[in-house]
Amino acid sequence: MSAPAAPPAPAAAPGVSKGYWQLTWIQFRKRKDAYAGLFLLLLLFSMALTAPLLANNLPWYASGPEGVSFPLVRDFFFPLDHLDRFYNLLFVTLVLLGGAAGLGTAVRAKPPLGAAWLLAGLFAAVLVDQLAEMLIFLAYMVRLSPGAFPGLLGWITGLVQGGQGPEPAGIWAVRLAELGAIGFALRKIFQLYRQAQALGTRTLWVFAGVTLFLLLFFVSRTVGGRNVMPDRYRELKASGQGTVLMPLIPYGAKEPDSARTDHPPTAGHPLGCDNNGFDVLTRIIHGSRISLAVGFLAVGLALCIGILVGSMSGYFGGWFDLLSGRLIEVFVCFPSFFLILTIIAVAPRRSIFWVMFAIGLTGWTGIARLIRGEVLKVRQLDYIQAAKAIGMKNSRIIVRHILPNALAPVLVAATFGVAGAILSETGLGFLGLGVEPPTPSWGELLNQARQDPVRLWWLMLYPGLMIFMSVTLMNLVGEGLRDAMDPRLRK
Amino acid sequence: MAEGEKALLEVRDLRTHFDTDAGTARAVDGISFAIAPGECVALVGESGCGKSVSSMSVMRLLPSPPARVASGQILFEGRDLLGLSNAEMCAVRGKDIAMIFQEPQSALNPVFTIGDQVAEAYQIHHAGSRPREAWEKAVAALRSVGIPDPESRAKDYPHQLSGGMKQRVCIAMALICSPKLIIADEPTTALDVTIQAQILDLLRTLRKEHNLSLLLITHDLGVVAEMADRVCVMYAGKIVETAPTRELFAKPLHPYTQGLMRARPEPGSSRHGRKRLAVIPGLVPAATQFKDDCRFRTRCPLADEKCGSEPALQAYDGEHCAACWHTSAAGVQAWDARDAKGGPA
Ligand SMILES: Nc1ncnc2c1ncn2[C@@H]1O[C@H](COP(=O)(O)OP(=O)(O)OP(=O)(O)O)[C@@H](O)[C@H]1O
Ligand SMILES: [Mg+2]
Repeated sequence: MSAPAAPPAPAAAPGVSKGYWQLTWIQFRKRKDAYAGLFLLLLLFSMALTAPLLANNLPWYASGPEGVSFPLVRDFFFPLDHLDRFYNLLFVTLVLLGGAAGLGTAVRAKPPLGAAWLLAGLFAAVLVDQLAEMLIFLAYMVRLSPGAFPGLLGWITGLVQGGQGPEPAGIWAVRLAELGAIGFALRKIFQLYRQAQALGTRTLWVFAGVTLFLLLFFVSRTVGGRNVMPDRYRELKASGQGTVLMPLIPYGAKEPDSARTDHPPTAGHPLGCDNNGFDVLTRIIHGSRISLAVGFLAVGLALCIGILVGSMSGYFGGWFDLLSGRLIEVFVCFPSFFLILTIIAVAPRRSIFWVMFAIGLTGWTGIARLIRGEVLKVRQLDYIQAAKAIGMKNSRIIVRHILPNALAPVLVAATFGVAGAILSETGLGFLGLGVEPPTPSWGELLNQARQDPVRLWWLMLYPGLMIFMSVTLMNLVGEGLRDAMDPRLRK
Repeated sequence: MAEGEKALLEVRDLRTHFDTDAGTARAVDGISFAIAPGECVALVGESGCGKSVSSMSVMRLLPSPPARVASGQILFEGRDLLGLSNAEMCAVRGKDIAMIFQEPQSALNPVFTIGDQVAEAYQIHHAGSRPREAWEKAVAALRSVGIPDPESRAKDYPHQLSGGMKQRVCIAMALICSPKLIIADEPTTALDVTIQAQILDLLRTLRKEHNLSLLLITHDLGVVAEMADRVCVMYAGKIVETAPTRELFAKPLHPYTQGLMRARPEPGSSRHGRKRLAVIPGLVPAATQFKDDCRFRTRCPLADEKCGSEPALQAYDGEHCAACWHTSAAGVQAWDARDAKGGPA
């Protein structure tokens, strides 16, 4: 699928300005190991994004007495699991953004292309629909702990999600907003069209990709089939009354096969089966979603807190600096793994989001310190004074002038942080404190191997390899980034 | 400034002190001056005499603590800037008073294009203006400061420009909201001589075009002679002499001013071989060590017991004021006598 491949970065023509990030990128590519690491990491990430398309117990396509259906596509757009939903939405959003960028050039083509018009219109509709879906999803997330957000927020989320009863008025509000947004998008596209410019060569590919995607989307909405019971399709296949097209690895991540518990690798299950009869390869593919999500989201949370606290204490100094400095010391004094265990122990329910929260909450201190130091350094540079002298407000100075210049080392630290968070999560999974049981995760597989690591070697080896690989790759990329951002190592 | 003319900026008895571990540094200690609309006033003095602190006090850009304005008024168009809230002061900076710094290399943010930075200066004071408009204004401003091909240069990053060009960009940033007063803190010190001349030229033309007032801070008397209408000579946090430029150069009254004039390399003087550059002996006392005497006393050839108390700024010849107990023609003779004896110790 069209997950983000290594971006093509043509060397800038002489005389064309090279920005800081461009220079960093050129420098980064010079380190072959880091570059290869980034490529493999992107591959791993695409695997996580497309996991349900690679390994699933639902067929891509099924036709039989009940008619034609596309259960896998349907399930991809409307999964039940929160994390799956997040990843699928992310995937769809990435594809949409890529398509939008491509369509932008296509629509500005000269002579005008009718097809571009049609596609762009449909595309805008889907984009808006997707955004609405994302909003509803976010609202749903907020409601994970009912009663935690009473008042206005609860009312709004209730409105958007709808209650048990008939369709609430909120849905109509969303639909109205969608209509407005579609109109707006169309107007934008119209403006682009008016400034018709040269047609790009990659346009055809974009057309093909977008068309395919739109097709899948509308198929899922119309003839996707409401029935996502895997047994039905298996029966259908067995009875020979219809055609069933299964994905590459035809096992579900949460559908055990009790006949094959603790089964070593065979042709049908190349990496074997685990204690519960789950296919290990499927579990590993789907488990990458957990590991990467924990890695990136936990570090994202740590970054948010760390950047906020660090930049404020560095920029304003005074009592805030004093207070946050003490807070950081308190956090650092705690052994972080036990703090994570404590948070998870007191969490109202077991959920992967609590794990992310706990890891993120313990990881921000280093980032805050780093940012604070950088801000202290950047703060006294002349251009900050110059920015003040033209009347810029503090908040804007921090966001526009200080953070971009202070962020480089933090980014490097964050990369290493992701590796650390992945390890933490597998550690928790190994202790049986990670995700809820049917959810696949690498740490949970290791946990199963604990009973008898020699006999159950495949439960230890393969997830262990994956953990080793992803952590190594993150560290490689982090190292490359660190070297690329250091101006003293340039040229 | 002629009598009765309304001042654009009037600083009255400004004292800016720093609370440091070594005691209170009285970096600026009771200075008063005024700038009329369209006038150029130069603030000259040795390094460390408080020129930058004075200008930063006017802009209220000093971090406090440690800086503290102990007394005084800074009246801009009759309004005391010291009484304004932070938000009000932000509205003054850039819009009414803009600033040009010494180091163009570091006064621009390396991660944004120069067009972005100039446009941003515009947007700050024109909330709600569209990005396109701000960009066009920026390009126009870059053109007006003599950047060739501003449309494409606007997309350059600071490191792609020479020092002189960067200073032009800084000037464009200062000018874009058409301020009434520009404070230039040693705008040419970091540039080489030919570029210096170009930048000064540019400042002069722009000043005429927009009827700008300019507070020029420098320690280069050549620049002063070329640019300024009036000069304030600072020493150790005080203004020791102030006069219209022509008059100051014709007859410097304060021994310190006289010393500065002598410390200036004069064309032709070295050709005769014998005359060495006259140096003012000693150093400016540290700002924490100031006492209530004449602060130039330790280095003054004329110093005597009278100098134990502080002389006030006195008008001698119309607008020509000096703060010295010995102000007379005798000062010049004393310096000559010292030189003849074999130069400074
Ligand atoms: N943040 C500060 N803390 C303590 N003292 C300070 C501070 N800033 C300036 N000073 C003192 O104020 C005095 C005047 O400094 P200022 O920067 O105004 O000198 P200047 O005349 O601009 O010199 P230059 O020509 O080198 O720029 C100095 O003696 C310095 O010690
Ligand atoms: Mg200075």
